Amino acid sequence: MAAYKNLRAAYGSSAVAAIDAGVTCVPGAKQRTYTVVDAWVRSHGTAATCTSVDISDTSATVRAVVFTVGGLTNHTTLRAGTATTGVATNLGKPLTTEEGIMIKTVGAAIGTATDIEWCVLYTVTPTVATI
Amino acid sequence: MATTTHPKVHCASGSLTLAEVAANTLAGTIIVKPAPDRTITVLDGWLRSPGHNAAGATTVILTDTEAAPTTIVSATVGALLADVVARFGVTNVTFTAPNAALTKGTGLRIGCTGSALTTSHSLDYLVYYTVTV
Repeated sequence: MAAYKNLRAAYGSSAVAAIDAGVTCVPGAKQRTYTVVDAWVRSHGTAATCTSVDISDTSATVRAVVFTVGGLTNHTTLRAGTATTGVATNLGKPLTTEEGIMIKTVGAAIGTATDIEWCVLYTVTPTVATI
Repeated sequence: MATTTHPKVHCASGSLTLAEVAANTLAGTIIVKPAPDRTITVLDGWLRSPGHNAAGATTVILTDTEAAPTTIVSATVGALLADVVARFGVTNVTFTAPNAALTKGTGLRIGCTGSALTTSHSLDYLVYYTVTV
């Protein structure tokens, strides 16, 4: 059976240096599990050099979306699920409990581009405490 | 200028087994329960066949829960490739009436046509919708 959750959105624009280091889009919270259900990114300047820009939990254990560098062209909105460049195998799957949502470069630092806009749609599930 | 409302967006997300998609003589399984005096409008969404390409069925459909259901989305089984997010409205995933209010009091259901789904082991889905009173 489906969940009936209110949808939440996190949006921002980050310098590529910040993305290289990892930007926390949504901080982790006690007894909460996030599920990324959709996302898009838009590069200002065509990105180069890096392998991908990933949206994952803050330990990079569950990668909800892998945006490969070939799709990060200037001012193009690249959506999760786009063939080849928006690999979204784990879209809709819960991230690690109590971890936040992160966007981070994989591979070498991002070249050429200056900033990347990002939008993450997610739901929040309370985690039942155990005693 | 036309009046525009901005109701809160809800989402139904989850994974159905092949048996659930083919349940009720292929009519499928309810993913959003009907609620009296509530009107649902589907805005967007996606389907995904995890692990394997879908096969067997002719289409996977998102419908309302009326006795004579209205089809909201119809995805040909060939569009449901392994692990690919098939968004409503792309080629072979026909979004019949985006942003159209459904019958008041109806819910949402995912089923299939032709035959039961095979090959894939489940069907992931996400449906964005609004609810108005």
